Amino acid sequence: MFNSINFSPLLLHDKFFPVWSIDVPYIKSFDTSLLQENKWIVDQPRNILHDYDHVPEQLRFWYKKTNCCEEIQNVYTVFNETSVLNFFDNLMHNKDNAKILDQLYQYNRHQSYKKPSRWLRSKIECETSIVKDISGMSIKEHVDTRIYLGTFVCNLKDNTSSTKFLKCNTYGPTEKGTGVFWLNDNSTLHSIDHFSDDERLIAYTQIRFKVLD
Amino acid sequence: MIPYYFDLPDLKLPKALAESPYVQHPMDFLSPSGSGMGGKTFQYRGVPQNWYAILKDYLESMITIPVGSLTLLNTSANGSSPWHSEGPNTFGRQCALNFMVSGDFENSYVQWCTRGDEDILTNDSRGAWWEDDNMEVLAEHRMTEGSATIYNTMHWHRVFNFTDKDRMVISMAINTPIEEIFDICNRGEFFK
Repeated sequence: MFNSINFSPLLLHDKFFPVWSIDVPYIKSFDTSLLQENKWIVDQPRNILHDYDHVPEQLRFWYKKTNCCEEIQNVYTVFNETSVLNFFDNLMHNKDNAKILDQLYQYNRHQSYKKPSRWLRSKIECETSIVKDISGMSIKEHVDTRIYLGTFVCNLKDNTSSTKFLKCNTYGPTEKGTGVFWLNDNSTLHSIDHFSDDERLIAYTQIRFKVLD
Repeated sequence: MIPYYFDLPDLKLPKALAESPYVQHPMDFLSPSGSGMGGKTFQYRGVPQNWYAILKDYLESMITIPVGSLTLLNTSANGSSPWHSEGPNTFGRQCALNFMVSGDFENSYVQWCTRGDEDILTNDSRGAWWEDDNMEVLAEHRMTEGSATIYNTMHWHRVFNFTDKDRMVISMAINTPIEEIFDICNRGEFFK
């Protein structure tokens, strides 16, 4: 159950747009009341933004990963590196998706890799977080920097807002256990605005190339 | 100096961008581990939203090649990058059009080196390294304030910034060999 994610193109009329809706069975039954209010990390912005004057109000909170119960640990397991590589192979088994990947990364010019996971193994790191956004959280349109391969966002509850993809003016799904996965590309310019009074709860996985350290 | 770099003195940094103060993009703070920017002294940062709009519109109006992804490369004061390569395997690019927007233009620079008989098309799948200060340096380049340079990112290269200022470069990805871009320039077909 932890190793299951179903993908479908976010845009049914554009099968080469590198964004997919996801459906994650384990998350559908995840009990968000297990998240303890005292485990949300409060920023110490001066430590982060030491050389800039602008210190924004904290509108996004990260959940502490230490000493979590098994159900919460399982959320991290769903999106750990091993799982992500398996999901990636499954996704790229589709020829249209493989074509998208090949246009973005010419990684297999010498046919060195039987599947994408062989290429990505040891080159990526996956950082999964449980995230709470409160009203006012807004990140304007941007393309991720080029060390990002892709990102998963999965709703831990029925949310009222979701990632917007500017190219097609389309939003990701908001229902619990659903979400989006996108590959980093100029076409996946995206933003998030959460202005309603409820809390937005997501699992958020960044897949980055380990290129520098 | 092909195949490592060539200057584009006629492509100027937009005045509106130069006059707009740097405000770090919130996307840089979206990883609780702090590793979302890649490294400590050499970071891949988001381009501030207003800079992104200004530069993207400007480049699309000025040049004929596709305007690829824009990234802000920050090398901290008294810091450097490792020797690294950014190629078509893991970065989907082969060279970059760079503007240095702040830093010490005289004393910070980029170097290129070789490790011998390696296929540069796959260098970026072999990882970066910090040591080997005694590598044979094949080329060295200092940016000109307000003007663009195209760098070959597939050859091993590093940024040296042992100065008292952060070095910030806005970098546009180009997934075409630098030699082809150089030919386009020489044929007078680079600018619209």
